Amino acid sequence: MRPTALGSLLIPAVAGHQDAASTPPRIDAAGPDRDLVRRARGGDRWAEEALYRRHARAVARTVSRLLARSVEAEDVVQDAFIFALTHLEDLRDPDLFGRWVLQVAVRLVHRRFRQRSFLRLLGLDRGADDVTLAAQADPRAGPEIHARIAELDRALTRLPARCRVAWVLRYVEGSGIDEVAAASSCSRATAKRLIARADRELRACVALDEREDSDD
Amino acid sequence: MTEEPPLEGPLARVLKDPVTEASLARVWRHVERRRGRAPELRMAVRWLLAGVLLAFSVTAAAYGLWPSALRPIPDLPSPPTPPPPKHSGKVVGHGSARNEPPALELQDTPTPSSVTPEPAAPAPATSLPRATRVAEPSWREEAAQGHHAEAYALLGSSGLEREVGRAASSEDLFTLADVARLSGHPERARAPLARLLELYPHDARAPLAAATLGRIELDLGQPNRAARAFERALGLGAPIALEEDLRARLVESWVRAGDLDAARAAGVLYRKRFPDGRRKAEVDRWLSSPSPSPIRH
Repeated sequence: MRPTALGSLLIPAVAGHQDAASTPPRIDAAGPDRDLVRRARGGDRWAEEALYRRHARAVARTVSRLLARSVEAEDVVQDAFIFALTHLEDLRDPDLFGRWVLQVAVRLVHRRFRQRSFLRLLGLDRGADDVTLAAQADPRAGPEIHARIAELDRALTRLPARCRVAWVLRYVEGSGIDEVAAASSCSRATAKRLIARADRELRACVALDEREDSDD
Repeated sequence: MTEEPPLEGPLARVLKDPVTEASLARVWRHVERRRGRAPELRMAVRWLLAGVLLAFSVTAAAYGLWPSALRPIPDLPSPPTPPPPKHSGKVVGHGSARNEPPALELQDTPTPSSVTPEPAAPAPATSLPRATRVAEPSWREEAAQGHHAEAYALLGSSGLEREVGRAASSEDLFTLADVARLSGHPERARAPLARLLELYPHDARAPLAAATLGRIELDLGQPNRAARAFERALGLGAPIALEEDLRARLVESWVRAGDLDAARAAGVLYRKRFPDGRRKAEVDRWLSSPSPSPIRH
């Protein structure tokens, strides 16, 4: 078995772009969230906004990449933060606010996927994916990278929602297994199974690319 | 199970951050605004939206706006009902692909495929010894016999789009595309092919549909769209027999679109997959002198 995931197939080809493209920030669950949560529970609007400013970008980025639709992503981020700020009393570990709000957002993403399936069944799903991975690809990356990412995009849409979410969190966002498990509201073992299944199915879809890589 | 180390988002290194400060600020404004509302107001808004959705659903059901997946099997286009014959014999019904053909007691010969439809011609008012009207062929029957122009004429100006909406299988959609394409209306073949790719992406015909769409786009002078269609065909797992042609056409499309970087990348993939390919010379020629001149098909 290859030691890296499908997503890392792109690494050698984009080595030249690594300096220019910075790694996006990740949610840092440690730190002074506890103080902000305590103050927000007391009705401090400034603390609420500080929590939002700290975690909104990471949550919005993840949600956008999961849903691939900017308008829906904004709605989900909005709903997630409204829920989180309204239910701060339910948060057991205030240091984990970021992880918790991401978990809420991922639940809402799953709800969106179900709504989409229903609307598609009725023929009423008119939304277009405008935040696909291919659309986010750095223009400095070569056309081959663009083509591969586009292929990956198509393959991702065929995956079951849970597998897709777990794989994107793990290999696009770079989350650890614990973070994937927390966001997906499942155990570590289940998270690993979901990622492995997604990885297997994606490999089957982009088998041609892998074969070409191994030829090099 | 050995856990792999976090990969720090390798894909993310070539992906731009899709989130803008403006969108974050916009979301926060909405969060603040919605949090400021009373819960009762939020509930009222939700009930209102539910009511609107219910009303829409009822209206849609009443006016037959439900999508094809929920509709009953559509009837085939039928000609105007002729006036009842004066004689006592039975009139032959219309041939249908789904319905059993009616009894043909009064028909002298089987339905000829080349009968020109004359829906406006009234039945003779005088009493005849036997009913002479014959069943009109449907567009499906004409298409099945290779009479695509006749099938297209039977579909009429808006019939093709209507049938695309009603098509219950990938085969129907492919047939509609063939009817449009082979009757000299390639631009109208786009809709059934796109619909097929949308509804049946896992169908065995999907790669061929994407490839056909690409060829049509290329013929219609839309090389960018053609390239995307060819890429899709390859992504859907086109058979090996088709793959070489698709990869060559992809190079051609990018060259004609003026995207030489993409053309070179596609050319590299072609040479790698088919080092001794039949179209290698053409690909080399396109890449060596990438002038977007018309290219032979």
